[in-house]
Amino acid sequence: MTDEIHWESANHGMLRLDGRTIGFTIHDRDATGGWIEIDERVSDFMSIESAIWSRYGSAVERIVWFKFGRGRSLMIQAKYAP
Amino acid sequence: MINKVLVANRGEIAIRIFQTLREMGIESVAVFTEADAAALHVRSTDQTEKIENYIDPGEIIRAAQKSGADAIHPGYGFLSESPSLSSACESAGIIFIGPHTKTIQSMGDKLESKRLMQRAGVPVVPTWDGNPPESEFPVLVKAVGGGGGKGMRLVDHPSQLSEAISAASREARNAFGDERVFIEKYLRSPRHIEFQILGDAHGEIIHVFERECSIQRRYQKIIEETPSPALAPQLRARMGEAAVAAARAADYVNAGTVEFVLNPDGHFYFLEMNTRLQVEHAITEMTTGLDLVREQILIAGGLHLSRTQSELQQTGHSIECRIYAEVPEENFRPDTGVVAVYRPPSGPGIRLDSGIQEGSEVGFHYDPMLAKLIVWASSRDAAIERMKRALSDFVVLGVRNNIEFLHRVISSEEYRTGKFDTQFLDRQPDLLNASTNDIPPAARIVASLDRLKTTSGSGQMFTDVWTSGAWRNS
Repeated sequence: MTDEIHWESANHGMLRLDGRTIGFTIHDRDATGGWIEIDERVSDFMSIESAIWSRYGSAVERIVWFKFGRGRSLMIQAKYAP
Repeated sequence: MINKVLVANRGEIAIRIFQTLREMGIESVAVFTEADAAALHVRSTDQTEKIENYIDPGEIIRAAQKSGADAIHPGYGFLSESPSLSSACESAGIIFIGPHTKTIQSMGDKLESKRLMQRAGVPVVPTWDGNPPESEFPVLVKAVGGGGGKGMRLVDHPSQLSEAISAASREARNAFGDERVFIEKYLRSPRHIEFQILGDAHGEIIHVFERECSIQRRYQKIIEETPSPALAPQLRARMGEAAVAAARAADYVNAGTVEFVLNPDGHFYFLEMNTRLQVEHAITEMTTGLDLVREQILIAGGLHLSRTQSELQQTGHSIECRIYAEVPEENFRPDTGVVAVYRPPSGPGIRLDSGIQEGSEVGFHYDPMLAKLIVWASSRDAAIERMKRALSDFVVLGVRNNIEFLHRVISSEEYRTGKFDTQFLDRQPDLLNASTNDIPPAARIVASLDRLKTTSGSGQMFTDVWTSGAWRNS
């Protein structure tokens, strides 16, 4: 599956997925979370960021708790080069 | 009459005991070390005493005397099964909320306790002082002075026995200060089922049904439930009678647990007796309505048991998951950090016994258990669904934990069927690793917030992405 995300503003953007273009909006954002509305579905999320260091250099680590579907959630840990 | 209780423990169990003390109108005293100065249990009590460590009985007694406590509750772990604290209490004229010293001593010696049970007619796993016959292999070498997998070796062949005994002895000496080991018949694929018992000072002993504890990692329980899906009423009654006989043989007073292994052929054997409140006591409370801490305090105060055997019954089904600060995907290594986000689940039939809150620091000094998530529902299937929902609602960020791993276990088909044993995780190594292929697009959007303005392809969104433990280079 390939997708493309285009942010139009801080809380709004478009997702191109499987030939479709779907708008999404982030609601009620604060320092640790909010909820996302996409494709007529809403999902709760919370996240934190911290600086990490390793022998390869420094990075920013974001850990996201994301709730989706019926009774499911997952954790995503994403690292970004500074 | 007990007026003030010092709880010689920390974390969730200290808080759990404080809750019952408050309900009973009894004052509570917390002890804490330097590392725990800001811990939640210190703020959940009436009075505090600073100590150097939790395992010095002399310090605990001094703290009790200084605070004016007339009783000490040991919780679990630390000094709870050490005769040194109970005997120090006896010498100091302080009530020990637990069994007599001689009971702790005899049950703490795994070999002596088995012999005692054998004399009482309780079935025990065959043991040997010397070399077992070759036909009895595989066997386990086990420490006399403790459990939890320490000082334990599985031996498949007689030629490996001598080396295993040496290694187990060394480990046992380091862990328990007692190098003695013994050899026990190894049972393949047993279930681990324990019975809660209560005994008062007037000779009454009852059992409060079983707890199924077969889901373990590295010999440590991680999920418990009651009733056990393996016990039909007749077998439950037989095991309950054996548990009461075991407690009677040990002259047991207060709350304790008789642990059995149950073979697939339906035969069960005494494993050991835990002379304390168990971590998993809450599931018994959820299905019987008893407050076991309250029972302990009433018994220690010399009162009769509040219920007879015939008055007790199990209602519904309860499951407990132990939430650990550890990384299952990396061989369960403990993690440390500050709990930056803490959002516990709530709703019908959910109980959380927790020792942390947002901002709590999880260090390396003590056990990495953060909380116990307990659910109750009218049936096992409903309890499983409730636990899945509660785990998926539970947010702990800042310290890596086993919440998603527990969700995978609870959601597995083998768990749902109830046909499992202590080898559950060995047979299902896939449960240790989450798939990194099913991240919903919306989750990837959230993960890229404020970081990337336009991204293409899931592999180009992050330097690395990880779900539930495993890093994936992308």
